Amino acid sequence: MVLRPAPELPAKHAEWTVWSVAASLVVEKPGALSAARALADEVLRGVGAACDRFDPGSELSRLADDPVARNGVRVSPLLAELVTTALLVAAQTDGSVDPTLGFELARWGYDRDIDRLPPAEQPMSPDAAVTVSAVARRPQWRDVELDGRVLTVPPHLRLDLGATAKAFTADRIAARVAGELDTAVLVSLGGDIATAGRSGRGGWEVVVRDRETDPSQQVFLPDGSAIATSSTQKRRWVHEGRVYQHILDPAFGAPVIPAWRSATVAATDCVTANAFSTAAIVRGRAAPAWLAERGATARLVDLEGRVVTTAGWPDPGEGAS
Amino acid sequence: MATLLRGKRIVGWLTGVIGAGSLAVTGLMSGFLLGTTHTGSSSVSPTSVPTTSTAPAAPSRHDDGEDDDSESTPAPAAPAAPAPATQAPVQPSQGGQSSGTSSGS
Repeated sequence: MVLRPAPELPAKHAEWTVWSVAASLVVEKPGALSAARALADEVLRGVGAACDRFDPGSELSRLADDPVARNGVRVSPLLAELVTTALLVAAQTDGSVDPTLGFELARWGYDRDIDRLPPAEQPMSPDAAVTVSAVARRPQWRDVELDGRVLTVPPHLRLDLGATAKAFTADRIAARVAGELDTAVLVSLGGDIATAGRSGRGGWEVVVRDRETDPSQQVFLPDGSAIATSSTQKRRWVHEGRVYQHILDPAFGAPVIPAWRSATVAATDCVTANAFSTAAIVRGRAAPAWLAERGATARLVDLEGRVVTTAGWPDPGEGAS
Repeated sequence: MATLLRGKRIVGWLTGVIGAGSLAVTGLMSGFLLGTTHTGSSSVSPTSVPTTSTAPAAPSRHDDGEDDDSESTPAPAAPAAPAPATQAPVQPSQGGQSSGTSSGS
């Protein structure tokens, strides 16, 4: 008897690391993975070249160091789109997600890629004392002007588009892969997930979980939907002997004192999902009511591991583990 | 005097004609209304339309005023269907393997 090897299944799933986060791509159409990955790389390169604040050669970094740019400078279409998205998100979240915190992030020690900062790996204890000295800060995102493609950033502000660029990129990759390769696709960039196209099942199974020890839940994400999780347990570093995490409160320009381990929001696009999940972390205990008022479908995990959901989120007991 | 008498006759004649006409019209209208009530007219009262309809039907070619000169011609595309109810962006798991994990980064 001759044993034949099983037929090789078409590869439909790719994983890699980009911008210090895990990226993954799932396509439904056999044979589309390589082309999809090439499209993803193209989008990632473009966004990185436009606004990576850790890359001194990016367009945004060069503008930040250019005194002429303070009086208005014409930027690339992609950077204009990214800034527009960031300003729209600032408006949508009543300023909770503010793209003008570049100087503040650097002041708290987040001035280089997270992989190059002293790590703080231990999960945050709910009883741990957190001290943040800060003074009230005026909302300043309205001081940024974008007239067509002419961008004006006052000299006292430094743009950081990190809060929205990743979700923007996930949406863009998903749309391009589905549109150009005629396949259903799921794109994940650091847990910000966008989908596009029509899949056989009408959607995708997705696990919502921050750290391995956090409560998790499997949910169904209909085609075209997106989901994003913001966490206070990751992207943490030690600066001057203290542990900080990366989400700043624009009202103080200082790291948020966490009320939640993580906040997850589902929406029709990843930018919106990410905007609300980040704003939920910033708004602390007021977040559930704020999200509910806006009809956002959300799941929050508090420091004790208790799950709080808003209307529309599936019963936390279903698909939980 | 003769003129006065002739005028009275004309007025009397006109009064009779108008009276008879009024009676005839009243009778006709009463009969029509009575018939409508008792036969259950197929016309729909305006107030019943919005409360009973669920979705507007696509108008037929006969309704749009165009000549129906070619029965074999395919009907034009129906107007856009009403927007479907907004689908929840997340639903309970249907089981099966997950394709991704949403976590903070």
